[in-house]
Amino acid sequence: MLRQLLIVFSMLLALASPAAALGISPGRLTVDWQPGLQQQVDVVIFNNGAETNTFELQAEGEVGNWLTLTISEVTLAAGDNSRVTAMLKLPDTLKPGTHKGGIIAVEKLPSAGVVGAKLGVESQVWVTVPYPPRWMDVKLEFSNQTGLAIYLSNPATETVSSSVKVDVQRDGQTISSVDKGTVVLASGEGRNLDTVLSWDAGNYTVTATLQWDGGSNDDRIEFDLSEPVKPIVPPTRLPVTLIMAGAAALLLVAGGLMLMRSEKRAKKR
Amino acid sequence: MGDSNILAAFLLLIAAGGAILTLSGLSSTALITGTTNLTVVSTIAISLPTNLVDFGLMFPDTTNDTTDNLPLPFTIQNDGNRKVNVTISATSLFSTAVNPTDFYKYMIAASGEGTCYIGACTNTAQYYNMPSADSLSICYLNFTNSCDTALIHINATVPVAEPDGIKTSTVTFLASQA
Repeated sequence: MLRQLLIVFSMLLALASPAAALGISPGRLTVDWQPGLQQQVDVVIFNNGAETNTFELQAEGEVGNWLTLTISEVTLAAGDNSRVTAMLKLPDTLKPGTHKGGIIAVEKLPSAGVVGAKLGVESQVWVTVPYPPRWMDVKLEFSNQTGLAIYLSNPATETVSSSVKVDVQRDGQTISSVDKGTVVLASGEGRNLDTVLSWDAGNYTVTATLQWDGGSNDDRIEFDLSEPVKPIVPPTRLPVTLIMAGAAALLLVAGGLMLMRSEKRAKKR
Repeated sequence: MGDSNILAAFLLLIAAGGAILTLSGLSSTALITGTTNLTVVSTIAISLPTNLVDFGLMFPDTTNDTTDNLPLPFTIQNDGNRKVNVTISATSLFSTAVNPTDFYKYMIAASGEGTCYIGACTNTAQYYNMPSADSLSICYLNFTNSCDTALIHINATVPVAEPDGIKTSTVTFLASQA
């Protein structure tokens, strides 16, 4: 027992090499979408550290699917830099809006026996597709604290009236399909939809589908819950009239009690 | 035309030229200005001036963190010329508690330079479980030298059933343009 108690732990969170530092340029490249556009993308990786370092390169995000890097890693002496090339090939069709992703350079630690922190930097590559006159965006997010959030916005120039449907699948089975009615948003407007639900443990896929005259849009998220989640329900606002009626009822009861007491006292006398 | 005439004509020409220069406001000492153009390219660059967190020896069911500066927390610095967002992810520290877990947490805090980020979307004020996948943790970290750093505090609690030995974790900080 004593031996067990005396088990000691040594925990280290350390860098493999002293004072690693790196950079990438440019910080962001924005490309206007054209069907099937092919374009060379150049980034420069800097080793600002005091020692030779190797950096792993990868494309990430939605745009990362359309980027092909010519190399997967680069080794740079202290203070050195290197130009890295990627080919960007855009799809023939894309949803309106900004599609994000980029090229990431992350320190590659020596493999065995090394513990610590790794630094990484990203050169963002964003692809923008212009909005038609009528369009509605939908964004789904999930957190254990607030549950599912559905955010709608109208980035286009005209008012849009759209139906909203939310489908929830748990472990591959549809457990809920809710019609949230019609939402009307003027140009530049946004709105959160209430979705107070309890979530059992499982693997979820949630899809929100918008449908309006002449167009449609959707968003989908997937998440795993190892334990049930019950989001905190925000306190509902009671109507002023209800509050006033409640206060009046309390006053009435208090007045009645006082009246009864005074009657009892009068009888005793 | 004799040589003297040619010389006179030449002198006249020079005199006339001088008069023209004087009339037009030009002279041999006139300043000619030009314009130099350049574009500074955005660069995303970060470093870890304090890059070692060593808790040393710990017993099971005990907790240690870096808020008392023993050991010092990580310090991240923005060396580029753009404000950056920083995500954090880490490999699990304990074999009996996989990330994210209450046994291994982090918290962002202002450095000696002050608050160099936007607090509203930065994970400050309380410890958060260390994520296994990239999670946005520092928003709009400033790049001006007077204020371009943030602290990342680490909190570790050894699970009771954790086997003895050296425990390691690699924390990855990924910076992108804010």
